Amino acid sequence: MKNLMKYEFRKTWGTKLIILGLTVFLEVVFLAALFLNKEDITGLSAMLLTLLAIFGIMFVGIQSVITLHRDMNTKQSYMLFMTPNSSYKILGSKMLENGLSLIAAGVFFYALGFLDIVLLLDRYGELDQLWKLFRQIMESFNAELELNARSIAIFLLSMVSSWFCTLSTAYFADIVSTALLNGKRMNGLMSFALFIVLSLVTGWIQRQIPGSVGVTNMLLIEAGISLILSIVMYYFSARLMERSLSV
Amino acid sequence: MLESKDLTKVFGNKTAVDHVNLKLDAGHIVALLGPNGSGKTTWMKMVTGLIKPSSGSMLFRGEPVGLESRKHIAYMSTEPYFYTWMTVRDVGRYYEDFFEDYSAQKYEALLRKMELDMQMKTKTLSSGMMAKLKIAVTLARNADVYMLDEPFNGIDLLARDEIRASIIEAAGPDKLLILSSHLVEEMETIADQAAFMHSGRLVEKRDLEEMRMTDGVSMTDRYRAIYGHVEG
Repeated sequence: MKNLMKYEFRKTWGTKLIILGLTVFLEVVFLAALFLNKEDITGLSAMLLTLLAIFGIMFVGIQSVITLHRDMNTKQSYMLFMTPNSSYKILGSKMLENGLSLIAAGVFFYALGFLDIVLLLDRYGELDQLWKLFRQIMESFNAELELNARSIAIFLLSMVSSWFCTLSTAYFADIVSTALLNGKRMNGLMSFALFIVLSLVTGWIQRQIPGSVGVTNMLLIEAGISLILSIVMYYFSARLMERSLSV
Repeated sequence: MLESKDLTKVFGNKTAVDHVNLKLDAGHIVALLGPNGSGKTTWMKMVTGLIKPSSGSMLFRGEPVGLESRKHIAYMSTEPYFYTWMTVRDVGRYYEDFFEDYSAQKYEALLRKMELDMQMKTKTLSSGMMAKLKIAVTLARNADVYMLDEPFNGIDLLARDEIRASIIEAAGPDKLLILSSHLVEEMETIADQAAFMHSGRLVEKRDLEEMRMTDGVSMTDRYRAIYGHVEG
């Protein structure tokens, strides 16, 4: 498992390096502009850093599906599938590596964002004013949502389980279409269409939770449903791979 | 050691391998012969589990091929399959990470023979160099079954001698080597058995020495007799 994860990381290392390089460049521009009191450049670089964080994290997630697709549809698939590793291990290592990469990217961008905000406030405002503003914004979304350790933990659990569900849905769609349409031209399109259909079904299942349970409970139930669906899709994806996938 | 029972693979409306029954034992070097599209590569890929059969079964020591057999079967595909970011050294490390029977010393020795450098990037290798690398890393494993698909493709005459020597060195009483090649005369100097395939079917499997003694024909003669009307 450790070796599989190592090579999964190595396959996606190039893109991660590019994202990291761009972030370092924009951060240097941001800090220089802040230090030199160039407000317009500070604002622009902060905005670009925010966009990079959002799209960077999103791309790290999508890249895992692209890598799986490549691993099943090019001759490089032999490297992976002729090793004595079960499909359960192969898929599991892909999911875990991607999850860890996303957590690392999330922590990195949140830490950087926090540092930049502190620096901004140090120069242009007060820290507690921002905290108040943040709470007001959150409370305006939902009065019930309280910013305490429990709700933050539930929110994070909900995010992680939602990511697991999306990734396992994408894997399942790609594996089904590759196993059934191996070598056919419409393979990629079919897998995308199947992903959309499965996502709609997953969304419909989650919408069946009554609103009366409250936001926190709803997040918890949604997380539970997402995790169950993830496990089901992971199991059937690996089983299909083991029995029917020809590369 | 290896047995395919009624093994069939259908791609769309094309039957690549058609009810092949073939039993191969340890202690032999088998030439898998046939013109393009005869099903040799598909049959080999079903041995490795890269391609799943439509029907029939592929057995390794009496058990269906799968996770366990992949530990003992070393396969060299005819197409380049290494990750493009890899160097020659990375390829060796990859095999070391996944195959318990891999020997780094053997890999280094084979690379020296093939005049390949550890620092070379796989994406910059010529087709001949790539073929040598594939053979080196495959033979660096101490596997029970070696399957080399077109091992002499794109390789010059002198390097071919090195490869032939390495293949013979890998052979042994408890090993099975299966080689496919269009270079029939080249194969005649290595193999002691031959399996002739045509249009996905197994035409026959012969012991070459016995064939020479009883029929008075070489493998090349037999190849001409079977495929002459097809290719000529």
